[in-house]
Amino acid sequence: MNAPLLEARSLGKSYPRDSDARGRFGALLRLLAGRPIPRLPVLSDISLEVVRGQSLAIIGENGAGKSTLLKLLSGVIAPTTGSVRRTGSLGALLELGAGFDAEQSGRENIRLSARLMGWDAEHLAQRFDEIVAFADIGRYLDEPVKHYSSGMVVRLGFAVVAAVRPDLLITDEVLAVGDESFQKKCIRWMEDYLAGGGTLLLVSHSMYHVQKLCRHALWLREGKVAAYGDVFEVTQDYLAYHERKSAAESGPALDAHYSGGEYRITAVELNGEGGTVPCVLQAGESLALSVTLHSPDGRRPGLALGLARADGTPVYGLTTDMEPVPAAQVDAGHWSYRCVFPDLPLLPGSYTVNLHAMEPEGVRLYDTVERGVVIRGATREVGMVRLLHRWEA
Amino acid sequence: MQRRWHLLRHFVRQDLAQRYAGQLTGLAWIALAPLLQLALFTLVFGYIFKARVPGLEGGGYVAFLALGMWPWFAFSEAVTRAASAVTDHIGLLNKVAVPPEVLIAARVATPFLLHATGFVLVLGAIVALGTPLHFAGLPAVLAAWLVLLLLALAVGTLAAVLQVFVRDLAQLVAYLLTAWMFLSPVLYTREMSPAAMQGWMQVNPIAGIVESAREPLLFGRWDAPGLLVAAIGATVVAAIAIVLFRRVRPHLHDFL
Repeated sequence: MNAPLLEARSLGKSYPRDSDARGRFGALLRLLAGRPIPRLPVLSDISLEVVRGQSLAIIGENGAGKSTLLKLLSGVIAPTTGSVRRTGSLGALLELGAGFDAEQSGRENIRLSARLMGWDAEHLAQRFDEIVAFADIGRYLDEPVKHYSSGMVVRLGFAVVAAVRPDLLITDEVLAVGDESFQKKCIRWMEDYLAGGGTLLLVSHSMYHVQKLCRHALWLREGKVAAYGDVFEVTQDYLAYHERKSAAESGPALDAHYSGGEYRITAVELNGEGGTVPCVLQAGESLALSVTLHSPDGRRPGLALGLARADGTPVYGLTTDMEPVPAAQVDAGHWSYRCVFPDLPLLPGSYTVNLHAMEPEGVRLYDTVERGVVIRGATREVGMVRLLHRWEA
Repeated sequence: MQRRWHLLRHFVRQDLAQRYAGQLTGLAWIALAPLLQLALFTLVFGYIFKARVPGLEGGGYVAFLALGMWPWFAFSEAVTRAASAVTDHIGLLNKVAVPPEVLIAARVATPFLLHATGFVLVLGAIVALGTPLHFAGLPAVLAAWLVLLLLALAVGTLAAVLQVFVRDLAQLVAYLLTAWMFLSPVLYTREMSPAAMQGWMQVNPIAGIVESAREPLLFGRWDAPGLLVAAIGATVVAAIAIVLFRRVRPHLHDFL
C-alpha cells in the first residue's frame, strides 16, 4: 500500500553541448565508440518519492528545469544519471497538456492516449463518448490537433485522463490554459480524484492551486532542489525568495547620511531588523515599524505608510497627519516614528510595506522605500486579512 | 511487452487508415495497385524489351518479375519509411513516452502487410494468366518473407537511428536502395550476372531471399542453403542494429 508509486534517485539530466549537424555527427561517433559526449547540465541530483494518495507540487522559476523533470519522471526522456522507478498506470499532461501528435486528429489522439495509459480498444469504445463529452470541443474532434487552440488541447488531454483515472497523474501547468469554467471543472475533478486516493504531481506557477491541491512541494532552482517538504513552508520560502529578488532589483539602498534639501527616509527597521531582507512573521505576530527621517529645516516631517500585497493590491494605508502621532526628535535634522501593528491579522503570503517621507504639511510625497513582509502559517483561509468573526447557531 | 504490441497495432492501424482512408479508391486501391504495376511491367519488360529468362516462356518472365519484385517492394518501402520513423515523430516523442522501436516496427509492418497481400493477389493473377506455379514451394516462400522481414527491421532500425544524427540520410537511403535493387537478382537471375558479381551475390542477403521467394513457386526447386546464408546475414545485421540501438537509445531524445 505504501510502496512508492514513483521514486527518483539522484536524477540528473544534461543536454549535448553541440546540437548542430556537425556536433550531432561527432556525438554519434563518440556514442558508438562508447565515449562520453560534451554536455550541459539541466538538472542534477534530484531525489524524490511519491506514495499512493500523495500530492506533490513542483514549483520554480521559468527555466529551472521543471518540465524536464516531469519528462524524466513520466519516462518521456531518459535521465543522464540516476534512475526513476514507477509502478501503476500513469497519465501525463506535459507541455500545456499537449501529449499529442499534432498531425493527427483529436479522435486518433484520444485512442493513442488511452492506449498509452493501458486501455484496450474495447474499453475505449465503451467510454469514448464520455471522453468526447468532457472535452467538449465539438467539430474539432476530427481536425488535426495542430489546428487546436492551446485551451482545446488541454481539454482533450484532460478528458482522457479524467476517464482513465490513472494511478499517478503528472500535469504541467495545465490549469493556466483552460478558460475559467474549464479550470473549475478540472480543479473539481482533481479534488475528487485526490479524495478518491489518486496521486498527483503538479507543476504550477499558481501558489493558490499548489496549496489547494498539494500537501508536499518541491522547489526547483537552477536544476537543483532548493526545498522539499510541506507545501506551506516550501511555497512561503519560494515567495520570500522572489521578494528578496525583486527587492534586490528595486534600486539603491537607503542613504543613511543624506543631508540635502529634501525630506527623506534615512533608516527603516521592521521588528528591529534593518537591511533589505524581507521580515518573516508567523501569522498573528505583531509588526513594529521604526522609521527615521531627515528634515532639511529641523521641522517635523510627515510619514505615509502603506501595506500592500506582493502583487500591489493595497491592504491598508495611513499618514501621520491623519491623527495625533507622537514623534521623537533624534537630533537637529532627524526625527523618528514608531508604529506597531499588534497581532497583525494578515493571512500567509507576501506583502510589502511602502514608506514615503512628506513635508510637515502632509501634501507632497518625497521618496519611496519598500520593505518585504512574509507571513508564514498553514491555513486554508483565502484573501489577505483575517476578519474578526464568530459562528452562531 | 503487451503494451508495445497494443501500440504497434495502434500505429499500424493509424498508418493504414491515413494512407487509404478518405481516398477516392479506398480499400480497392490496395488490390488494384499491385495488379496495375504488374500490367506495366508486362508491357515494358515482356513486350517492349522482350526480356527472357532461360527456361521460361514469354509469359514466364512476367511471372518471374512479379514474384521477385513484390518482396523487394516490401523491403524497400519498409526501409525508406522506417528511416524517418523517429524524425517524423519528434513532436510526439518529446511529449509522450512512446518507445521509438515501436514507431520503427510500425513503419516496417505496414508495407509488409500491404505487399504480402499484394503478393497473394499477384500469385492469383499469374495462375489466371496461364503460368503454372508449384504451390508445394509455398512454405519455402513464407520462410523467405520472414527472413526479409527480419532484414527490413534491422536495416530500418539502423537507418532510423542514424537519421537522427545525420538528417540528410533520407536521400542517401533512397539512392542506396535503388542501387541495391539493381545489384540483386530481382530483374535477372544470379546466373545471368557477370562472374565478377558472383562473390557479392553470395553475401548479399537479398539475393538468397528473393530467389527463395520466387524459385520454389516458379521452378519447383529451392536453394535452401542460399536462404540459410541470407538468414545468417540478416541476423548479423539485426545484431548490429540492436547493439547500435541499445547504445544510442538513452541519448536519442537529446538529439531530437
